[in-house]
Amino acid sequence: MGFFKAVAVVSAVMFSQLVAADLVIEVTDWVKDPTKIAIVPFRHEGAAIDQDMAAVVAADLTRSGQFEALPRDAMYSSPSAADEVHYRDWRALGVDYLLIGRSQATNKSVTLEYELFDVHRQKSLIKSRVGNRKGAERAVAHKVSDSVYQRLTGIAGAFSTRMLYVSVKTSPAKNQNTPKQMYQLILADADGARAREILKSSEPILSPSWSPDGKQIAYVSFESSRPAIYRQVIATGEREKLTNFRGLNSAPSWSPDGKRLAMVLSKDGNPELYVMEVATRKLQRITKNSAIDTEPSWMPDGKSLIFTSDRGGRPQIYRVDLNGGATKRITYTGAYNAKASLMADGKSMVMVHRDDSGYHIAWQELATGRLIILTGSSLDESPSLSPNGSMLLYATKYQGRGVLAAVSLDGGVRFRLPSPSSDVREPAWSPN
Amino acid sequence: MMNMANNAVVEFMSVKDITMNAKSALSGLAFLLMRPFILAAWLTVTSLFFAPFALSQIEVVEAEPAVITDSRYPQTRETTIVSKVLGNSMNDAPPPIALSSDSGNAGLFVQLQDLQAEVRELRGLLEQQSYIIEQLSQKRMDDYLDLDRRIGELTQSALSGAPVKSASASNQPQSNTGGSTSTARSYSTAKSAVPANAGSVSPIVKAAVPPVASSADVAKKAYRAAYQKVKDRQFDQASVSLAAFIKAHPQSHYVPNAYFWLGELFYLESDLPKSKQSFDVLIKQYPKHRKIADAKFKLGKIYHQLGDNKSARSMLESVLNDHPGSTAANPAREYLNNSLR
Repeated sequence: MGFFKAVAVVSAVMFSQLVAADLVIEVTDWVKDPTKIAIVPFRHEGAAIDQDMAAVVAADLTRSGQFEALPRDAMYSSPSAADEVHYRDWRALGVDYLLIGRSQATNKSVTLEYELFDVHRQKSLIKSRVGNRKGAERAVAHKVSDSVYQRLTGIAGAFSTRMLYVSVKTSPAKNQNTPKQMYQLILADADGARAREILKSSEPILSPSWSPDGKQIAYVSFESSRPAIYRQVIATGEREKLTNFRGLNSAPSWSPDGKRLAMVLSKDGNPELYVMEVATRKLQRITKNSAIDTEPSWMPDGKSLIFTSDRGGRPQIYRVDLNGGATKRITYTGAYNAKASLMADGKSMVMVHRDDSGYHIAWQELATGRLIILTGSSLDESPSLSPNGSMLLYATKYQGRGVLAAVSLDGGVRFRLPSPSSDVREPAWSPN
Repeated sequence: MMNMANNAVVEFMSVKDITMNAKSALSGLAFLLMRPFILAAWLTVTSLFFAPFALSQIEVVEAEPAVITDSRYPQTRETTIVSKVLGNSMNDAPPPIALSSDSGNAGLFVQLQDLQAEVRELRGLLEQQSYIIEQLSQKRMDDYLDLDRRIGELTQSALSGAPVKSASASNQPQSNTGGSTSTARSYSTAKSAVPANAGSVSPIVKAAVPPVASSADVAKKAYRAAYQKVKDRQFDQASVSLAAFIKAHPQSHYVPNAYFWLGELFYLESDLPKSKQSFDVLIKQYPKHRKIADAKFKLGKIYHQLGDNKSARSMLESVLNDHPGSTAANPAREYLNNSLR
């Protein structure tokens, strides 16, 4: 035993380190009749900035699939103040809304004043100002996108959010050795930009999960040659090994109050659900069954979990009450339903569902059992909901490579986030 | 030293078992359907046990969705080791399955696995069927309520003008139209007042109708309208109106008359069970009513026609004994002597 001790190379990284390649977004499906908006390049004064904030806003709104941004070369003028706006020009271009702005930067900070107009009613809808430290221009632009999106759709924007995903790079085989894998846990903005590595390992990294305040994450790493659950503070890179039991330690999921972690351990036999109190590491065993119980996800009230189990012969979603342990199966459509996660209202969930054409992401209403398949590709997995519940990220295969993709819950909007140089998978959308 | 030897055997067993799993994965449909589970499990197991090989296998692990690890096999290994190392501190841990080089035990182990798989399959079937039963009973109730609502609407339009105030609408779980009434429900409601029949009343219609104080005039008018239809030989409409009347004015002193005429009408239509039901209610709830003797006579005939001669006889004898001077006494005697020989 132990002739070869695999040497795991692990490094937790401070989050400012930008070593991962950004994902590029390709919108593949829009809503039928997107709202036309013109986003005039913002007039800039002061210290130079290296981001075109108007372009970031335009990209954000376009990516939502509900807006179509007017190309800049089609604009007749570039107003940056209300008295420079000629509504007739914009109406002639078929634009419904108009966003203008002025940015200022010093060596320390950047501010953006912006104003949104309804071209048809000729009135101002938003007039506001956003500021941040210098260098955070993208964050400023995302804030603007959020407020425009909310004003025009009534739904909170999710452009300022972040995501985690696992990236796997395979280096070519040298001297007939097996190809070497490098696993990275990546934190990126929701638009795929500013990707930065927060963990690197030569052994698999799995199941990243956000704490509800968005400040910590939990994940599974095989760095000690067998799976263990870790907790890591994003801002500092400080990390802690929470479990190191014999056998399986997997699928951590943070409770809504942030104090507990649901997880899967096989220390007492076969994979069962446990809930760990993070502060004391006290474990409560939740399931007891000879079948596999895995992939816990919390009900918003924190009183029960939904999970995947093959106790009925096939993987299906069950719900277990944490006090008392009463268990009820909640999926009956199809022979395979797994990896469910609940919507914020706890009334419906998204999950991986298999039908004749493969593995898709599906949405199911809990009360009625009504199921809607959201994705058309055949190897879809790991759905993760946006905090506003309007979109979900998932992992799929595209041109033979693992990519992330997103779909709106109404199925109307889709985009892909292919990575230029690696396989990506297991996305987790941040809670805020 | 013994422990180590045991572990070595366990390792060997694991290889054998994994091969078995792989074989069944190829042959068994159930395993095929669980492909990601099994493969991920298998690979994780491999990687757990054989670190050097694991390096080359991880590439495949990544193609699988998750984290899910089995398996039936390694659990026994874990359990044995956990119990050795930690003294098995968890109370609810399953008892470790002792593995030895004894091949009989290995066979037992395979059997146990097969049994577990079968139990799971059965559990799945059971879950499916309870779900279907749940769905069916829900659907049955929905269909019933829908039908009830439609009958209620028909009744209301048939009454056309007779004021109908449904007291039970508020008891309905479904959103029925405001003042719906129905033959079916008024019957059952009437029935539920009879203790003897209460058991046969379905839970939905059991919802008691709280008495509604309706003005005597309105009730009288409604009853007259319904009775007029009997006299006009509009029997279908008459029975609907009478049922609606009972429903709307349960306290009216015309209610026993309405039950009597309903019984008569259903008898005319040869709907013996419904007819019997109406007469039953009348006899049990209004034993002093002047139409009781006639009702008992009719009920006796119904029992006879339904083949219940014993009940028929006792009912007819009750007419003779309890109401000797009534107009029904003679026909009852004749019937007893001629038909019920």
